[in-house]
Amino acid sequence: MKKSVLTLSLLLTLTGLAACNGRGNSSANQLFDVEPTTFDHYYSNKISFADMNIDVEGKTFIDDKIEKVVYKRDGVDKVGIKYVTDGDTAVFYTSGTQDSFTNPLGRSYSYFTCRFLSIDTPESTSSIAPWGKKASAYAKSLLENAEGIIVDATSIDTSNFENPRDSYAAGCRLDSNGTRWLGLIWYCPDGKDANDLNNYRCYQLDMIEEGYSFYTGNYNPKINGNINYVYNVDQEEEPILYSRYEETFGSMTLADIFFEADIRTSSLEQRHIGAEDDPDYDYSSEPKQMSITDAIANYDTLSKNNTYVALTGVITRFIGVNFYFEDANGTALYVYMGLDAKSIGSLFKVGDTINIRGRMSEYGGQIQLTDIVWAQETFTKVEGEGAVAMPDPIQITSNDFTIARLEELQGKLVTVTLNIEHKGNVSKDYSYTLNCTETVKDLTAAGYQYDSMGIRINGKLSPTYSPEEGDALVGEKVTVTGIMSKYYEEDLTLDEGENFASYQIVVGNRPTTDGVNGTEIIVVE
Amino acid sequence: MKLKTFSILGAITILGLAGLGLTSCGGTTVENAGEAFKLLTLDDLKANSSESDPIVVDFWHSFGHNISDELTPLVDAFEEEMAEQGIHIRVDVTSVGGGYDGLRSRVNLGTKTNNVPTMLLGYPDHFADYIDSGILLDLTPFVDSTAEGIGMSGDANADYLVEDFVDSYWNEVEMEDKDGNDIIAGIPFNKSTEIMYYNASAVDPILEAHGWLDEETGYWLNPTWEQLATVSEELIAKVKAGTMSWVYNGATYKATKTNYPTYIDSGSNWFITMLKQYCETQEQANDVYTNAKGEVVFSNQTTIDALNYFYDYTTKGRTGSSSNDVYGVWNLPNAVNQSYGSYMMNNLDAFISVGSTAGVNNNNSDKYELKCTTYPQVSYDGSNVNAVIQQGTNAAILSSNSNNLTRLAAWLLIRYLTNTENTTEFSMSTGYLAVRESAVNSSTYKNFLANEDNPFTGTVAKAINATNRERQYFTTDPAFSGSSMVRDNVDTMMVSIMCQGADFTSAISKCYSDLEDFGITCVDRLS
Repeated sequence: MKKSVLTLSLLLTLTGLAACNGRGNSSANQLFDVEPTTFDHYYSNKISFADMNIDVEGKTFIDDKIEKVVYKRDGVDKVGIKYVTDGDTAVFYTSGTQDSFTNPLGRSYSYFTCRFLSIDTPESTSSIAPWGKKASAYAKSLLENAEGIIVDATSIDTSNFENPRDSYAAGCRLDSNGTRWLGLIWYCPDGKDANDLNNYRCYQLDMIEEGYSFYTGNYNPKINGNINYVYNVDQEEEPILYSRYEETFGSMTLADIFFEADIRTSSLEQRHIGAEDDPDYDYSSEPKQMSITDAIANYDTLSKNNTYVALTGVITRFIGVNFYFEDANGTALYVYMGLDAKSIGSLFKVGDTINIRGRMSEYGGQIQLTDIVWAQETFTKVEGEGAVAMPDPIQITSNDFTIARLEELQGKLVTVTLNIEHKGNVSKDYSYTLNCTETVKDLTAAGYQYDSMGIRINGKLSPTYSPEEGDALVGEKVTVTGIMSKYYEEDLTLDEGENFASYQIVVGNRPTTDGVNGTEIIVVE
Repeated sequence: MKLKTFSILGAITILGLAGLGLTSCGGTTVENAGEAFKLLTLDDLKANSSESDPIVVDFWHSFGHNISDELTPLVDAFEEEMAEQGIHIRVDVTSVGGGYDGLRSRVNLGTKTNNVPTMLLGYPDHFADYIDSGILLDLTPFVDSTAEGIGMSGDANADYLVEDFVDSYWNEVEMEDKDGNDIIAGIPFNKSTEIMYYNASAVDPILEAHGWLDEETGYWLNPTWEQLATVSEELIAKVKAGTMSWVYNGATYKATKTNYPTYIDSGSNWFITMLKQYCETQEQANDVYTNAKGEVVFSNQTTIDALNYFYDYTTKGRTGSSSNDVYGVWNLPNAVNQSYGSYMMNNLDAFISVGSTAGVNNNNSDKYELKCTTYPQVSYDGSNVNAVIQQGTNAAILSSNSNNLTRLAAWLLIRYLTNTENTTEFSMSTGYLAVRESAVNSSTYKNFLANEDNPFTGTVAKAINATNRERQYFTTDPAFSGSSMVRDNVDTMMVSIMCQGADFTSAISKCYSDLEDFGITCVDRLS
């Protein structure tokens, strides 16, 4: 059986020249007005957002929100990229309001997560599928370098709903998880004039014609049947688009173009859409054993090849079901389990040595082990000779708060005394950050503003620290033990390349004894 | 200038017709595609396949990465076993994006140009669409065959017998073609149902106080809606009193807020089951939502009575509208802008979630003991019908882009994947339900289900054990072309009623109106 998904090719023989062969095998004969020999973006080169006749100036994707309820919207917006999650999802800044946050500069931004309509790229985050990372890299190359991006959901027909809030609640504007907004993406490539709508290319079409996604159709069961998201709502105003039959028929819908692009690109029998095996994907059933030190040292190669690895180290802290572990060389790594339910907490405790299988990846600027398959053979407890000793927390002071030193301490268990000045916003899963008066010196010297050392409370901790407990710590001097970590928070006021890391100590699952919860944030008397 | 708005698919069809009978092939179009059916033999397959020129079966499903990974070894093993017999089959598996509705959408698009697979997975109402478009192959000749290695009848190996399929699963693949003839539309493949998940660390003390905790099993057996309402109200009271805490794995957890303590994931399933459960006889239940004629009939007094009961609890005890307030006893997750109750369960904002067995791992947590029980019923004393929705896909063969060689090869794959051993294996690795009684009763399966404490498979075992306690009243709504549209609109209607307080009769009228726009017959028994 082919290991990857297969091509879905469509062809008609009009001349009778094509000879069907085999016993169910594909015919090699194709009929396109321009036969594809490579990923030539035949259709996407011919279409721009200007063809859609949609007014975007002054519009907002999500217009108003009161107590998390959306009351009106334009459904189209020029947005900024916050980050690309993978080939079919990204987070955008918008002039509307959704999941607002205030950065340490006191500047407020609003962003929303968007699941791109009509495509479905292979996984590249918590699980890693063949072609997934390539699809994600291609997405980043398009969107992160774009001069401008438009998100368009005007094609979603909400006329059956009395107000947008109903359409939101009924799920016709959100994905099946209820957390990601749906939209078509148009982007203006690097070097082009973002003020000219003729320069905005259709992202979905480029992704299909680059071979990283099928066209998935437009069916949404939450609304009346087979609504086609890619059609304009008003079909009388349907734009002129192009097909291989353009001389004959002139006009077709964008959805038809997607479908044709899928079929035409599939015929190359390459990449994801053509069911080609990913040459940079390790299909082995047995992992390659190596140390965490070697895995990190060879990260670029291992990540590029999606090598199936097995790493051994001592668990230093659980963060919910995820954990940090480090090898005998003291090299540490974060393990992302992917699902809250994947808890090995009953099998392993802090101080145990684990051999775990997965693939190397990167998220938020940090290297991690992910693609963890939930099966017994994934996890092996190592005892005796191969066991790694549990390290004592490294005692540090604010004098260690230099970039060089903090980089040395990444992923390591540390203990430090800090003064808590402020508690940040609490997210919907009860995560929050306690900001301290101590700062990272180099960051301050560079005129950088994100210099406050933070204490990060992850809402998934088991048990967690309630927001009320966080409130009680503000103004206190505390000794905290946790994992030294860093994060990136984009700031639109910074120039490209100036999104420096900020640093924080991530607290682990609380130590508990006989039902009494301990703490790793101890107030200094 | 007025623009032409031809669909290219329509254009292709027209051009194809213009081909004056010339062969239409290319892509995945096979030789002799759509030929008249004839049941071939294994010798035919041997004679017409070789290692270098195998028979190719295109198999479309919509599983994600994880389930696909469980299917792959079974398909590989099938190819190897066939090759050992001198039959060379290559199965090209396509995971079509967009879920099963996306798959159906793609098949419906591809039907116009014969860009469809040899075989696929789908729901009965999808099959109704395929029957309407004349592309579904009747599997009766395969099933009825007594030929060794092919059939499911007569002296066929016990692991393959048709009688062995779970009755309720088999019933839904027995359909009618366009002429009203009985056909076998598919073979049961992956099945799930709905159960009730609960945070036992929080709920068990309340159950115990009421005597609803079974002493022998430690489970909440035969839960009723009345019991669920009582438990939910007491959960609210404990949260409000600040006493909702428990100890799990040596740590103390405390829940400090709850909008609703209980969520019911699927509005359409909730609606269908509540109507059936409000009936006193099965005959009434068969004619309360949609009927065998494909008519929508839920504008009736039973619906109003049921909605009255269930809606009251969506607002009962409401204290306000801020995110920290109590909104009611139970509701759909849409009421708090979520899709699944498991999200609130994991955040300790809710304690009970009624949903699909396919979501069992999402309800699990390292913060509480998860237990599973059956879908709540009105009663168990026979005064009301017991019902819980059975769902999941079946495997079918399409006739339009296949020939008799590829059809038989596809059939052998379906037969192989659904034999006792493989349905057992697939169930244990994925959490879908085994489709054969012999699998359900096998020692392998029983050992698996007995081990609820296994950290890797125990959660799935808990869910399947719960389903086994409600199998006797699995129910399905009749499949007809458009039946999925009815469910979709009912989902929307339930959101408007339960989450937005829409007037029942107005909401039903609107739903009827929308369905009638799509040509679906709706019978109004209220007016």
